[in-house]
Amino acid sequence: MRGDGARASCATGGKGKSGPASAAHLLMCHRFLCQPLTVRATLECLMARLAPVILSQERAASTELVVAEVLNNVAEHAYAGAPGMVELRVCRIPDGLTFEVVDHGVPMPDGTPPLGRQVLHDVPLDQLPEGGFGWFLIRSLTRRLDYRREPGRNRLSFLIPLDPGMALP
Amino acid sequence: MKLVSERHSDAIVMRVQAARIDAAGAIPFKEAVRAGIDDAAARVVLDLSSVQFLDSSGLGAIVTVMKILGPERRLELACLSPSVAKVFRLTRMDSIITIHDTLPADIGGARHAG
Repeated sequence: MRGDGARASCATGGKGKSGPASAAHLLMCHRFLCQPLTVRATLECLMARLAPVILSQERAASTELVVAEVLNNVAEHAYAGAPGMVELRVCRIPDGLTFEVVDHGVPMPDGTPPLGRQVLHDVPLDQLPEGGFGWFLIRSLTRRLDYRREPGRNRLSFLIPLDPGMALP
Repeated sequence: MKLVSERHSDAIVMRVQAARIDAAGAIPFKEAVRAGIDDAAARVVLDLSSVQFLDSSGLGAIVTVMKILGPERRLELACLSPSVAKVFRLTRMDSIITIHDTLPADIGGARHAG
């Protein structure tokens, strides 16, 4: 199940690009062809890397969920199901973990991440949405969400706070 | 994706034998549930005790299963891990679908695995 390619490139490293803060400690820099099975392998790699950093089981689960949603969106929307290269960078900063996801797919509609919706209640069964939960979860479980369209690429960054003062649901 | 089904007089209990219902697993999950449903059961109870991870694709797959069952048959979920339960709580899908902490005790009739 785990792709050897995903595993092999799991080591920290990468070029020292402009990070969010000089105090950032790079935990993971991982490039891979983004598809559902490679997303799964990447998440396994990520959670192994974060195990010593995130001590709360609940926060670990939220982190895995958010990164899954972000990467699945890249696979499904930015690359529309075709394999495309993604870079995931994860840094430890004093108040949490910063994530940066860069892809070379199509820009987000209207140049901004979707707001995400809560499920409509009291709608008939056949009108219940089968999708669209992803951005609601991402926005609920992250802070400092930032999206930039750069020439030929999308750059999405966000923080998952590990500071107990920055409450998440 | 493997499901183990147990037929009761008024219900089918389906135990999902997978650790993840994610973007890679959502379609196999829907197909496995669809193949395991029969028209006689008024209730379909999904035992999710093995599932440790469910994302929005998995949530969408559960909604699809509800639609496949239609208004006359009920989908219920049981034995959710804390991380899976949280996805239902955050999206408020727990107000739309019945969720049991354990397998419901009121499922009657003879059991036989299928």
